Amino acid sequence: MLAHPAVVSRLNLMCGKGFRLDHGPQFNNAVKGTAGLTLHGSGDPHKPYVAYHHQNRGFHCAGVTVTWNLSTAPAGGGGFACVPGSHKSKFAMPKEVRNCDDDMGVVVQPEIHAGDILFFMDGAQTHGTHPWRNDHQRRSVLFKYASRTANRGGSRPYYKPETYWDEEIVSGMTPEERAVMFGPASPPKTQEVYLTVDPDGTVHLDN
Amino acid sequence: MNDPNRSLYTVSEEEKYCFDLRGYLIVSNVLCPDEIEACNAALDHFSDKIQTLEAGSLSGGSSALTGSFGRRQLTGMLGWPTPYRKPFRQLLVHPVVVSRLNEFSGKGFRLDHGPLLIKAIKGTEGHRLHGAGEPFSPVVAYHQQNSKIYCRGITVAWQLADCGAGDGGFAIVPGSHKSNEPTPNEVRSVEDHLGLVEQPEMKAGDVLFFAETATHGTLPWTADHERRSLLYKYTSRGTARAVGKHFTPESRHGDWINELPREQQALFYGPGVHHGGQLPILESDGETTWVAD
Repeated sequence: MLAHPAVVSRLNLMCGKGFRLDHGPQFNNAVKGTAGLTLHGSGDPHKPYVAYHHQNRGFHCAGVTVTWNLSTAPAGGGGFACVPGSHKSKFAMPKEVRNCDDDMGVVVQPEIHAGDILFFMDGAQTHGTHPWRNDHQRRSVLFKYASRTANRGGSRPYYKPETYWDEEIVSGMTPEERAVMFGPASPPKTQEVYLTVDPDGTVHLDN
Repeated sequence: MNDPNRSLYTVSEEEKYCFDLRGYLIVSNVLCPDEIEACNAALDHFSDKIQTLEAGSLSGGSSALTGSFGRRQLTGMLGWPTPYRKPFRQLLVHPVVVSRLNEFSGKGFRLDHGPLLIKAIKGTEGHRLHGAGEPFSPVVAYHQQNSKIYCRGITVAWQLADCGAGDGGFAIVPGSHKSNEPTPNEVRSVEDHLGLVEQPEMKAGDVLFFAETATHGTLPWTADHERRSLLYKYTSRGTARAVGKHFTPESRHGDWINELPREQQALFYGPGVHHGGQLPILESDGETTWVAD
Protein backbone atom coordinates (compact mmCIF):
# COMPACT_ATOMS: atom_id res chain seq x y z
CA MET A 1 0.00 0.00 0.00
CA LEU A 2 2.84 2.37 0.93
CA ALA A 3 3.96 2.97 -2.66
CA HIS A 4 0.94 1.57 -4.48
CA PRO A 5 0.78 2.96 -8.01
CA ALA A 6 -2.72 4.36 -7.38
CA VAL A 7 -1.25 6.30 -4.46
CA VAL A 8 2.01 7.41 -6.05
CA SER A 9 0.38 8.66 -9.25
CA ARG A 10 -2.04 10.81 -7.27
CA LEU A 11 0.31 12.08 -4.59
CA ASN A 12 2.85 13.07 -7.25
CA LEU A 13 0.06 15.32 -8.54
CA MET A 14 -1.35 16.48 -5.22
CA CYS A 15 1.84 16.92 -3.17
CA GLY A 16 4.54 17.00 -5.79
CA LYS A 17 7.26 14.49 -6.53
CA GLY A 18 9.43 13.61 -3.58
CA PHE A 19 6.46 13.37 -1.20
CA ARG A 20 7.18 11.37 1.94
CA LEU A 21 5.47 9.27 4.55
CA ASP A 22 5.34 11.52 7.60
CA HIS A 23 3.82 9.05 10.06
CA GLY A 24 1.72 5.92 10.16
CA PRO A 25 0.29 3.62 9.06
CA GLN A 26 -2.43 3.68 11.65
CA PHE A 27 -5.26 1.17 11.94
CA ASN A 28 -8.65 2.67 12.80
CA ASN A 29 -11.11 0.13 14.13
CA ALA A 30 -14.68 0.58 15.40
CA VAL A 31 -17.54 -1.64 16.55
CA LYS A 32 -21.21 -0.71 16.63
CA GLY A 33 -21.71 2.11 19.13
CA THR A 34 -18.18 3.52 18.89
CA ALA A 35 -18.24 7.30 19.40
CA GLY A 36 -17.38 9.71 16.67
CA LEU A 37 -14.45 12.14 16.64
CA THR A 38 -14.92 15.91 16.74
CA LEU A 39 -14.21 17.49 13.39
CA HIS A 40 -10.78 19.11 13.19
CA GLY A 41 -8.61 20.88 10.66
CA SER A 42 -9.60 23.78 8.40
CA GLY A 43 -8.38 26.40 5.99
CA ASP A 44 -8.47 28.97 8.78
CA PRO A 45 -6.43 29.39 10.84
CA HIS A 46 -3.83 28.77 8.16
CA LYS A 47 -1.31 26.06 8.99
CA PRO A 48 1.62 26.14 6.57
CA TYR A 49 2.71 22.56 7.27
CA VAL A 50 -0.60 21.12 5.98
CA ALA A 51 -1.87 23.98 3.82
CA TYR A 52 -3.47 23.71 0.39
CA HIS A 53 -2.47 25.96 -2.50
CA HIS A 54 -3.28 25.97 -6.18
CA GLN A 55 -1.48 28.06 -8.76
CA ASN A 56 -1.28 27.95 -12.54
CA ARG A 57 -2.88 24.51 -12.85
CA GLY A 58 -0.70 22.99 -10.14
CA PHE A 59 -1.77 21.47 -6.83
CA HIS A 60 0.34 21.99 -3.75
CA CYS A 61 -1.00 20.00 -0.82
CA ALA A 62 1.36 20.00 2.12
CA GLY A 63 -0.41 17.13 3.88
CA VAL A 64 -2.56 14.30 2.46
CA THR A 65 -3.85 11.26 4.31
CA VAL A 66 -4.52 8.11 2.31
CA THR A 67 -7.05 5.76 3.85
CA TRP A 68 -7.39 2.17 2.67
CA ASN A 69 -10.84 0.88 3.52
CA LEU A 70 -10.95 -2.77 4.49
CA SER A 71 -14.67 -2.72 5.22
CA THR A 72 -17.64 -0.87 3.78
CA ALA A 73 -18.96 2.37 5.27
CA PRO A 74 -22.50 2.72 3.92
CA ALA A 75 -24.28 6.08 3.80
CA GLY A 76 -25.49 7.08 7.25
CA GLY A 77 -23.55 4.28 8.93
CA GLY A 78 -20.83 6.46 10.36
CA GLY A 79 -17.09 6.63 9.86
CA PHE A 80 -15.15 9.28 7.96
CA ALA A 81 -16.91 12.63 7.70
CA CYS A 82 -15.74 15.94 6.29
CA VAL A 83 -16.75 19.42 5.21
CA PRO A 84 -16.18 19.53 1.44
CA GLY A 85 -14.40 22.72 0.35
CA SER A 86 -13.18 23.58 3.84
CA HIS A 87 -9.55 23.31 2.73
CA LYS A 88 -10.08 26.72 1.14
CA SER A 89 -12.09 28.31 3.92
CA LYS A 90 -10.90 31.67 5.24
CA PHE A 91 -13.37 31.94 8.09
CA ALA A 92 -13.34 30.16 11.43
CA MET A 93 -15.42 27.00 11.58
CA PRO A 94 -18.51 27.38 13.78
CA LYS A 95 -18.44 25.23 16.90
CA GLU A 96 -21.75 23.63 16.00
CA VAL A 97 -20.27 22.38 12.78
CA ARG A 98 -17.16 21.04 14.49
CA ASN A 99 -19.18 19.02 16.97
CA CYS A 100 -21.96 18.30 14.43
CA ASP A 101 -24.66 19.55 16.80
CA ASP A 102 -25.92 21.83 14.02
CA ASP A 103 -23.85 21.26 10.95
CA MET A 104 -25.89 23.43 8.55
CA GLY A 105 -25.83 20.57 6.07
CA VAL A 106 -22.14 21.11 5.26
CA VAL A 107 -20.88 17.87 6.81
CA VAL A 108 -20.79 14.84 4.53
CA GLN A 109 -20.17 11.21 5.42
CA PRO A 110 -19.21 9.69 2.06
CA GLU A 111 -20.19 6.13 1.26
CA ILE A 112 -17.03 4.06 0.87
CA HIS A 113 -16.69 0.39 -0.07
CA ALA A 114 -14.15 -2.18 1.05
CA GLY A 115 -11.21 -1.87 -1.35
CA ASP A 116 -11.73 1.86 -1.96
CA ILE A 117 -8.99 4.39 -1.22
CA LEU A 118 -9.77 7.79 0.24
CA PHE A 119 -7.44 10.79 -0.17
CA PHE A 120 -8.10 13.84 1.99
CA MET A 121 -6.18 17.00 2.92
CA ASP A 122 -5.52 16.24 6.54
CA GLY A 123 -5.13 19.41 8.58
CA ALA A 124 -6.33 21.74 5.86
CA GLN A 125 -9.73 20.12 5.45
CA THR A 126 -12.23 19.84 8.28
CA HIS A 127 -12.74 16.14 8.94
CA GLY A 128 -13.52 13.65 11.67
CA THR A 129 -15.72 10.66 12.31
CA HIS A 130 -19.42 10.02 12.79
CA PRO A 131 -20.44 7.36 15.33
CA TRP A 132 -20.29 3.85 13.89
CA ARG A 133 -23.74 2.35 13.57
CA ASN A 134 -23.09 -0.71 11.47
CA ASP A 135 -23.21 -4.28 12.68
CA HIS A 136 -19.84 -5.02 11.07
CA GLN A 137 -16.54 -3.47 12.16
CA ARG A 138 -15.06 -0.37 10.68
CA ARG A 139 -11.55 -1.21 9.48
CA SER A 140 -9.42 1.53 7.89
CA VAL A 141 -5.67 1.86 7.50
CA LEU A 142 -4.38 5.44 7.35
CA PHE A 143 -1.06 6.52 5.84
CA LYS A 144 -0.10 10.13 6.63
CA TYR A 145 1.88 11.67 3.80
CA ALA A 146 3.50 15.11 3.48
CA SER A 147 5.04 17.03 0.66
CA ARG A 148 8.84 17.04 0.46
CA THR A 149 9.41 19.99 2.76
CA ALA A 150 6.38 19.91 5.04
CA ASN A 151 6.44 18.26 8.43
CA ARG A 152 3.58 17.07 10.47
CA GLY A 153 4.35 15.14 13.67
CA GLY A 154 6.52 12.45 12.14
CA SER A 155 9.84 14.25 12.49
CA ARG A 156 9.60 14.82 16.24
CA PRO A 157 11.88 11.86 17.10
CA TYR A 158 14.70 13.64 15.27
CA TYR A 159 14.02 17.25 16.01
CA LYS A 160 15.70 17.99 19.33
CA PRO A 161 18.71 20.27 18.69
CA GLU A 162 21.19 17.73 20.01
CA THR A 163 19.86 15.16 17.54
CA TYR A 164 19.36 17.44 14.57
CA TRP A 165 22.69 19.36 14.59
CA ASP A 166 26.34 18.47 15.15
CA GLU A 167 27.25 18.71 18.82
CA GLU A 168 29.54 21.74 18.63
CA ILE A 169 26.83 23.83 17.00
CA VAL A 170 24.41 23.63 19.92
CA SER A 171 26.68 22.80 22.85
CA GLY A 172 26.36 25.39 25.61
CA MET A 173 23.42 27.24 24.05
CA THR A 174 21.00 29.10 26.27
CA PRO A 175 17.36 27.90 26.28
CA GLU A 176 16.48 30.84 24.05
CA GLU A 177 19.20 30.06 21.50
CA ARG A 178 18.27 26.38 21.65
CA ALA A 179 14.61 27.21 20.97
CA VAL A 180 15.35 28.11 17.35
CA MET A 181 17.57 25.09 16.77
CA PHE A 182 14.85 22.43 16.90
CA GLY A 183 14.39 20.59 13.63
CA PRO A 184 11.24 20.85 11.52
CA ALA A 185 7.98 19.39 12.84
CA SER A 186 4.44 20.57 13.40
CA PRO A 187 4.10 22.80 16.46
CA PRO A 188 4.56 20.84 19.67
CA LYS A 189 2.50 21.51 22.77
CA THR A 190 5.64 22.02 24.86
CA GLN A 191 6.95 25.56 25.23
CA GLU A 192 10.60 25.00 24.48
CA VAL A 193 10.37 26.16 20.84
CA TYR A 194 8.45 29.39 21.41
CA LEU A 195 10.09 32.74 22.12
CA THR A 196 8.69 36.10 23.06
CA VAL A 197 10.20 39.58 23.44
CA ASP A 198 9.46 41.94 26.30
CA PRO A 199 9.15 45.68 25.59
CA ASP A 200 12.65 46.22 27.00
CA GLY A 201 14.07 43.76 24.48
CA THR A 202 14.47 40.74 26.76
CA VAL A 203 14.00 37.50 24.84
CA HIS A 204 12.72 34.49 26.78
CA LEU A 205 10.76 31.29 26.32
CA ASP A 206 7.07 31.99 25.84
CA ASN A 207 5.63 30.14 28.83
CA MET B 1 9.55 53.97 10.35
CA ASN B 2 12.33 56.28 11.45
CA ASP B 3 10.44 57.51 14.51
CA PRO B 4 13.06 57.65 17.28
CA ASN B 5 10.36 56.90 19.84
CA ARG B 6 9.32 53.69 18.16
CA SER B 7 10.38 50.62 20.07
CA LEU B 8 12.97 48.62 18.22
CA TYR B 9 11.50 45.45 19.71
CA THR B 10 7.96 45.70 18.43
CA VAL B 11 6.75 45.31 14.88
CA SER B 12 4.82 48.33 13.67
CA GLU B 13 1.89 48.25 11.29
CA GLU B 14 4.07 50.15 8.86
CA GLU B 15 6.72 47.43 8.94
CA LYS B 16 4.10 44.74 8.29
CA TYR B 17 2.74 46.76 5.39
CA CYS B 18 6.22 47.23 3.95
CA PHE B 19 7.23 43.59 4.25
CA ASP B 20 3.96 42.33 2.81
CA LEU B 21 4.15 44.81 -0.06
CA ARG B 22 7.78 44.50 -1.08
CA GLY B 23 8.97 41.19 0.32
CA TYR B 24 11.77 42.77 2.31
CA LEU B 25 12.31 45.06 5.29
CA ILE B 26 15.34 46.92 6.62
CA VAL B 27 15.54 47.78 10.31
CA SER B 28 18.18 50.43 10.77
CA ASN B 29 20.74 51.05 13.50
CA VAL B 30 20.28 47.75 15.31
CA LEU B 31 23.95 47.04 16.10
CA CYS B 32 26.22 49.61 17.71
CA PRO B 33 29.82 50.05 16.53
CA ASP B 34 31.17 47.83 19.34
CA GLU B 35 28.83 45.00 18.35
CA ILE B 36 29.80 45.32 14.71
CA GLU B 37 33.46 45.28 15.68
CA ALA B 38 33.00 42.19 17.84
CA CYS B 39 31.50 40.31 14.89
CA ASN B 40 34.18 41.45 12.48
CA ALA B 41 37.00 40.65 14.87
CA ALA B 42 35.71 37.11 15.38
CA LEU B 43 35.33 36.65 11.64
CA ASP B 44 38.84 37.95 11.03
CA HIS B 45 40.19 35.47 13.57
CA PHE B 46 39.00 32.63 11.33
CA SER B 47 39.92 34.26 8.03
CA ASP B 48 42.02 31.24 7.12
CA LYS B 49 38.80 29.25 6.78
CA ILE B 50 37.28 31.56 4.18
CA GLN B 51 36.30 29.83 0.97
CA THR B 52 36.56 31.68 -2.34
CA LEU B 53 34.19 30.58 -5.07
CA GLU B 54 35.31 30.39 -8.65
CA ALA B 55 34.58 33.53 -10.65
CA GLY B 56 31.60 32.83 -12.89
CA SER B 57 30.00 30.31 -10.56
CA LEU B 58 27.22 32.64 -9.44
CA SER B 59 26.81 35.17 -12.25
CA GLY B 60 25.34 32.54 -14.54
CA GLY B 61 26.95 33.92 -17.67
CA SER B 62 25.29 37.33 -17.30
CA SER B 63 27.15 40.30 -18.73
CA ALA B 64 25.55 42.53 -16.09
CA LEU B 65 26.65 40.35 -13.20
CA THR B 66 30.12 39.29 -14.29
CA GLY B 67 33.17 40.13 -12.20
CA SER B 68 36.86 39.43 -11.82
CA PHE B 69 36.53 37.56 -8.53
CA GLY B 70 34.29 34.96 -7.03
CA ARG B 71 32.33 35.46 -3.82
CA ARG B 72 34.08 34.73 -0.54
CA GLN B 73 32.19 32.97 2.22
CA LEU B 74 32.54 31.49 5.66
CA THR B 75 30.36 29.19 7.81
CA GLY B 76 30.47 27.40 11.16
CA MET B 77 30.28 30.40 13.51
CA LEU B 78 27.78 28.92 15.93
CA GLY B 79 30.15 26.03 16.65
CA TRP B 80 33.34 28.09 17.11
CA PRO B 81 35.02 27.96 20.50
CA THR B 82 34.18 30.66 23.00
CA PRO B 83 34.44 33.63 22.91
CA TYR B 84 34.33 33.72 19.13
CA ARG B 85 30.88 32.11 18.79
CA LYS B 86 29.23 34.45 21.27
CA PRO B 87 28.26 37.38 19.03
CA PHE B 88 26.79 35.04 16.41
CA ARG B 89 24.72 33.16 18.98
CA GLN B 90 23.47 36.51 20.26
CA LEU B 91 22.41 37.53 16.76
CA LEU B 92 20.62 34.19 16.38
CA VAL B 93 17.89 35.27 18.83
CA HIS B 94 18.36 39.02 18.82
CA PRO B 95 15.14 40.71 20.02
CA VAL B 96 14.81 42.60 16.75
CA VAL B 97 14.90 39.25 14.94
CA VAL B 98 12.63 37.33 17.31
CA SER B 99 9.94 40.01 17.34
CA ARG B 100 9.83 40.19 13.57
CA LEU B 101 10.08 36.49 12.83
CA ASN B 102 7.32 35.76 15.34
CA GLU B 103 5.24 38.12 13.23
CA PHE B 104 6.36 37.10 9.75
CA SER B 105 6.92 33.34 10.16
CA GLY B 106 4.95 32.51 13.28
CA LYS B 107 6.03 31.54 16.75
CA GLY B 108 8.18 28.44 16.80
CA PHE B 109 10.23 29.60 13.80
CA ARG B 110 13.56 27.81 13.46
CA LEU B 111 17.04 28.25 12.06
CA ASP B 112 17.17 26.05 8.98
CA HIS B 113 20.79 26.64 7.98
CA GLY B 114 23.58 29.14 8.37
CA PRO B 115 24.87 31.52 9.38
CA LEU B 116 26.79 32.29 6.22
CA LEU B 117 29.18 35.23 5.90
CA ILE B 118 29.25 36.71 2.41
CA LYS B 119 32.32 38.78 1.64
CA ALA B 120 33.16 40.67 -1.52
CA ILE B 121 36.03 42.86 -2.63
CA LYS B 122 35.83 45.39 -5.43
CA GLY B 123 35.25 43.50 -8.67
CA THR B 124 33.48 40.51 -7.16
CA GLU B 125 30.80 39.08 -9.44
CA GLY B 126 27.12 39.26 -8.73
CA HIS B 127 24.72 36.38 -8.15
CA ARG B 128 22.03 35.61 -10.70
CA LEU B 129 18.61 36.48 -9.30
CA HIS B 130 16.71 33.48 -8.01
CA GLY B 131 13.41 32.79 -6.29
CA ALA B 132 9.95 33.96 -7.30
CA GLY B 133 6.30 33.50 -6.57
CA GLU B 134 6.01 31.44 -9.77
CA PRO B 135 6.75 28.59 -10.01
CA PHE B 136 5.29 28.08 -6.55
CA SER B 137 7.87 26.82 -4.09
CA PRO B 138 6.17 25.29 -1.06
CA VAL B 139 9.33 25.28 1.02
CA VAL B 140 9.65 29.08 1.07
CA ALA B 141 6.14 30.15 0.10
CA TYR B 142 4.61 33.43 1.22
CA HIS B 143 0.97 33.64 2.31
CA GLN B 144 -1.16 36.25 4.04
CA GLN B 145 -4.56 35.50 5.50
CA ASN B 146 -6.82 37.34 7.93
CA SER B 147 -4.21 39.89 9.02
CA LYS B 148 -1.52 37.31 9.55
CA ILE B 149 1.64 36.78 7.54
CA TYR B 150 2.95 33.25 6.94
CA CYS B 151 6.39 33.43 5.40
CA ARG B 152 7.83 29.91 5.34
CA GLY B 153 11.35 30.89 4.35
CA ILE B 154 12.92 34.13 5.51
CA THR B 155 16.54 35.25 5.54
CA VAL B 156 17.94 37.68 8.08
CA ALA B 157 21.06 39.46 6.83
CA TRP B 158 23.15 41.48 9.29
CA GLN B 159 25.16 44.20 7.57
CA LEU B 160 28.68 44.45 8.97
CA ALA B 161 29.73 47.02 6.35
CA ASP B 162 27.97 49.82 4.49
CA CYS B 163 26.23 49.16 1.19
CA GLY B 164 25.86 52.52 -0.47
CA ALA B 165 23.67 53.28 -3.43
CA GLY B 166 25.33 51.77 -6.49
CA ASP B 167 27.88 49.76 -4.47
CA GLY B 168 26.31 46.46 -5.42
CA GLY B 169 25.43 43.66 -3.07
CA PHE B 170 21.90 42.57 -2.21
CA ALA B 171 19.35 43.16 -4.96
CA ILE B 172 15.66 42.29 -5.14
CA VAL B 173 12.56 42.63 -7.27
CA PRO B 174 10.14 44.20 -4.78
CA GLY B 175 6.77 42.46 -4.71
CA SER B 176 8.00 39.36 -6.51
CA HIS B 177 7.20 37.15 -3.53
CA LYS B 178 3.60 37.38 -4.73
CA SER B 179 4.19 37.08 -8.46
CA ASN B 180 2.13 34.53 -10.39
CA GLU B 181 3.80 34.87 -13.78
CA PRO B 182 7.24 33.44 -14.64
CA THR B 183 10.20 35.81 -14.23
CA PRO B 184 11.76 36.85 -17.57
CA ASN B 185 15.29 35.60 -18.03
CA GLU B 186 16.55 39.13 -18.66
CA VAL B 187 15.32 40.16 -15.23
CA ARG B 188 17.06 37.22 -13.55
CA SER B 189 20.28 38.06 -15.41
CA VAL B 190 19.72 41.82 -14.81
CA GLU B 191 20.74 42.37 -18.43
CA ASP B 192 17.38 44.01 -19.12
CA HIS B 193 15.57 44.19 -15.83
CA LEU B 194 12.74 46.52 -16.89
CA GLY B 195 13.56 48.84 -14.00
CA LEU B 196 12.33 46.20 -11.58
CA VAL B 197 15.55 45.37 -9.74
CA GLU B 198 16.51 47.42 -6.69
CA GLN B 199 19.71 47.48 -4.69
CA PRO B 200 18.68 48.88 -1.29
CA GLU B 201 21.10 51.16 0.51
CA MET B 202 22.12 49.88 3.96
CA LYS B 203 24.53 50.90 6.70
CA ALA B 204 26.69 48.74 8.91
CA GLY B 205 24.50 47.75 11.86
CA ASP B 206 21.31 47.50 9.83
CA VAL B 207 19.47 44.20 9.57
CA LEU B 208 17.67 43.09 6.42
CA PHE B 209 14.75 40.67 6.38
CA PHE B 210 13.70 39.22 3.04
CA ALA B 211 11.26 36.55 1.92
CA GLU B 212 13.24 33.77 0.28
CA THR B 213 10.55 33.38 -2.33
CA ALA B 214 11.13 36.93 -3.54
CA THR B 215 13.35 37.22 -6.62
CA HIS B 216 16.70 38.24 -5.19
CA GLY B 217 20.42 38.00 -5.73
CA THR B 218 23.50 40.18 -5.79
CA LEU B 219 24.88 42.95 -8.03
CA PRO B 220 28.65 43.07 -8.61
CA TRP B 221 30.51 44.79 -5.78
CA THR B 222 31.97 48.12 -6.87
CA ALA B 223 32.86 49.80 -3.57
CA ASP B 224 36.44 50.22 -2.43
CA HIS B 225 35.70 48.71 0.97
CA GLU B 226 34.84 45.07 1.56
CA ARG B 227 31.23 43.90 1.61
CA ARG B 228 30.32 41.89 4.70
CA SER B 229 26.83 40.48 5.11
CA LEU B 230 25.98 37.73 7.59
CA LEU B 231 22.99 35.60 6.62
CA TYR B 232 20.83 33.47 8.89
CA LYS B 233 18.31 31.26 7.05
CA TYR B 234 15.14 30.74 9.06
CA THR B 235 11.93 28.84 8.29
CA SER B 236 8.55 28.47 9.91
CA ARG B 237 8.12 25.65 12.41
CA GLY B 238 7.08 22.81 10.12
CA THR B 239 9.18 23.68 7.10
CA ALA B 240 12.49 22.11 6.08
CA ARG B 241 14.98 23.26 3.48
CA ALA B 242 18.15 21.61 4.84
CA VAL B 243 17.91 17.91 5.66
CA GLY B 244 19.64 17.67 9.04
CA LYS B 245 21.65 14.74 10.31
CA HIS B 246 18.90 12.12 10.05
CA PHE B 247 17.85 12.14 6.41
CA THR B 248 18.28 8.64 5.07
CA PRO B 249 15.73 5.92 5.86
CA GLU B 250 18.32 3.88 7.71
CA SER B 251 19.39 6.75 9.94
CA ARG B 252 15.75 7.46 10.81
CA HIS B 253 14.36 3.95 11.19
CA GLY B 254 17.18 1.44 11.51
CA ASP B 255 18.59 -1.43 9.47
CA TRP B 256 15.27 -3.18 8.86
CA ILE B 257 14.35 -0.54 6.32
CA ASN B 258 16.97 -1.92 3.95
CA GLU B 259 14.78 -5.01 3.50
CA LEU B 260 12.14 -2.95 1.74
CA PRO B 261 12.16 -2.51 -2.02
CA ARG B 262 13.62 0.79 -3.26
CA GLU B 263 10.19 2.16 -4.09
CA GLN B 264 9.05 1.82 -0.48
CA GLN B 265 12.35 3.01 0.98
CA ALA B 266 11.96 6.21 -1.03
CA LEU B 267 9.09 7.28 1.22
CA PHE B 268 11.11 7.09 4.42
CA TYR B 269 13.61 9.84 3.69
CA GLY B 270 13.42 12.84 5.96
CA PRO B 271 12.13 16.26 4.90
CA GLY B 272 14.13 18.90 3.07
CA VAL B 273 15.38 19.83 -0.39
CA HIS B 274 19.10 20.37 0.23
CA HIS B 275 19.87 16.66 -0.22
CA GLY B 276 22.44 16.89 -3.00
CA GLY B 277 20.57 14.46 -5.21
CA GLN B 278 20.37 11.70 -2.58
CA LEU B 279 16.60 11.41 -2.78
CA PRO B 280 15.08 8.70 -5.01
CA ILE B 281 12.06 10.07 -6.89
CA LEU B 282 9.04 7.85 -7.43
CA GLU B 283 7.15 7.68 -10.68
CA SER B 284 3.92 5.86 -11.43
CA ASP B 285 1.64 5.35 -14.40
CA GLY B 286 -1.19 4.23 -12.17
CA GLU B 287 -0.35 0.57 -12.63
CA THR B 288 3.32 0.38 -11.69
CA THR B 289 5.56 2.35 -9.36
CA TRP B 290 9.25 2.75 -10.02
CA VAL B 291 12.21 4.86 -8.99
CA ALA B 292 13.16 7.39 -11.65
CA ASP B 293 16.64 7.14 -13.14
